[in-house]
Amino acid sequence: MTRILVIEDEERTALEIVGALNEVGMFTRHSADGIEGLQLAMDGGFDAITLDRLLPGLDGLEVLRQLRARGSSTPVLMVSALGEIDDRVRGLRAGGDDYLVKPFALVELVARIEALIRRPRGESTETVLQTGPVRMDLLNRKVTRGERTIDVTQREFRLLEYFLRNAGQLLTRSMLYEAVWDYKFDPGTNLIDVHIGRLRRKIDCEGEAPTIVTVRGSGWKFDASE
Amino acid sequence: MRLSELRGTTAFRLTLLFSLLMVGSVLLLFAFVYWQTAALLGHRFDQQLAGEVREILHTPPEAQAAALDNLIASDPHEDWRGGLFDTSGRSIAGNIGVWPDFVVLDGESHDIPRRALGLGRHGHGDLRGLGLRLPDGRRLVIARRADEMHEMRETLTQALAAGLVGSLALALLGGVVMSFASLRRIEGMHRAASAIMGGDLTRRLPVTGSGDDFDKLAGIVNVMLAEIERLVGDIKAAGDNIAHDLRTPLTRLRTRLEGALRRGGTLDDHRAAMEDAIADGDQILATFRALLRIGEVEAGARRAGFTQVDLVKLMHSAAEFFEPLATESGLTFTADIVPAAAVRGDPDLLFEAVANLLDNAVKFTPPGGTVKLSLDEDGEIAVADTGPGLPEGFKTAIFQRFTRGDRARHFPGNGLGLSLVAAVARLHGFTLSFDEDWPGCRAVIVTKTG
Repeated sequence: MTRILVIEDEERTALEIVGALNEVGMFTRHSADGIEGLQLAMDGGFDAITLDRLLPGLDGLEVLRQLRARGSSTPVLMVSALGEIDDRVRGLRAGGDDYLVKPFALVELVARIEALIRRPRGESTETVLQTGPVRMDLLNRKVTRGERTIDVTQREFRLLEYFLRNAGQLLTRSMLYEAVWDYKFDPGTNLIDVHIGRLRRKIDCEGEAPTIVTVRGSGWKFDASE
Repeated sequence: MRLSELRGTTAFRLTLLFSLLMVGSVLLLFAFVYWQTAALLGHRFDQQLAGEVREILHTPPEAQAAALDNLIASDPHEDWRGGLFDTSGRSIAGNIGVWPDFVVLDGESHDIPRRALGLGRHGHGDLRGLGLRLPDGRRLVIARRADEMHEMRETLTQALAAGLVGSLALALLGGVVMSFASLRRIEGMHRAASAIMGGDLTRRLPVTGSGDDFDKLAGIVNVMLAEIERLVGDIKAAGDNIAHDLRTPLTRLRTRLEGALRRGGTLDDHRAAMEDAIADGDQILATFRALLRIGEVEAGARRAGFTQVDLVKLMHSAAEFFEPLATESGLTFTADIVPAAAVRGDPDLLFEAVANLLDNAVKFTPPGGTVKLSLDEDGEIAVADTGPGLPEGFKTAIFQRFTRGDRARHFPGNGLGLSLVAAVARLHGFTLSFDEDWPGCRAVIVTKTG
């Protein structure tokens, strides 16, 4: 059973986060205070932690730093208020695994937590990725679906690789953008949708079972389960 | 302006300091001149004495008494005193009756008090004279009143003192005039500053045009004031526009929720209304986010994180990112990117700026048109389109927040895109301009600085 520690002092936000995580079948433990939160985190037994940037008792960044200093490797999703852009860098440098800026959509938070939990530890050494009929040869940069060879651009290759590595997982627009494009920026328009649409037309041809599935209002999922 | 304020002015303090230095140097100079002149005068005087003595010595012994009497007799001012005494101390010639014990027989000039020569207590100063023993044993003393020399010295001292007082007075007067002038300038600046603090941001510090230190200082402050006026104007315009642009979606949100509540209906109806409300909320938040971003860029803190930015790579990324959207919108998209030197900057912000320009171009160009992205060897970034172009009067307004052309009302957006581009350009010291001679709009960022 997945257990998530939610360290968040704002009651309303905490309630929503806990509710959203419970909805997808995760157990949660909530702490509204930095010192207690750190204690709970150190006691262990959590699969991931959401950590607010500004906390009473002990600052979020400090909680994270101490947690890492004491050898804990539990994945941490830093959550911070709108506008603190520099915090993103500092949060990741202090040992955060991912970063989310308030206000956020709850599906975004859940998707990122799920991605953190399923993320393989350490460097992956495989040279071939295969999910369902779609196969990627990472060494020769070759994509095939069954017998069909698919011509993709470099960017589409990275996009597809991210989909395959997170197969079955909801991926939001911002997760995809951050993983595949090199510049930090908020592409507010439907730019990502257009790129996904292009890739999908190449992967899922007429008559083939769709693999890149749209999750309404949230993002996409690579689903090859037929 | 009161006299007591004078003492506090820099000009006056400097004047005082320089006056002191001047008095010191004048005193030194005077001392030198006085010492030199006095020595010269004394030397001449002594030479004259020695000359007379030499003349008497060269006279045969029997005629010496007559020569001395002759010298004294030929002196109408009675400046000379002299006496020739025999070995027993009896006066043979001259106008000194008794041998003055004071006189040393060394043949050198000395100051001799009047009393020593039997002259009265009163009269014109001391004398200078010399005594010596002649080869035949007689004693000779010759002295001359030193009044002239003393008078010369006195006149010299007076002249020097007058000069010192005069120059000191001039220096002080100059100091006062300068101090008054500087106080008057400061008073003018003070008045202007008070007016500015009172809310008149259009006021500037007075500049006389003389190009002096005050003018330079006033010039610097005036440039700063212009920038402050611009910023305050921006903030005010932004405030007005925030009120205007946020009131609309907030009102819409409220109306939508109220309507849904009033109408009632099925669960699905409510769900639909809530989803719309969330979309409205997102729009408002996006506007806020964009505002904060512009604020952050304009604050200039991002400059600390500047690195070398490979424009070619950045432009290729931007082209690759937007090409699908342009194609999907029925536009022809071309990218003409040639090698160019790297620039110092924030890669994320520069990418965002180019992306905003491309986003506008794609959004406003009707299907069938062309969007062209280019980078030339001078590092000039251009985004051109065949859209409707910018309306008249919009080219300057575009740099202000929230300005949107009337046509833009039909497109999603918060009117902050070009403001952000302008802010990013300003942060980097690049220039952003819009080309007139183009079928549509051509935005140019010149990255070459200096």
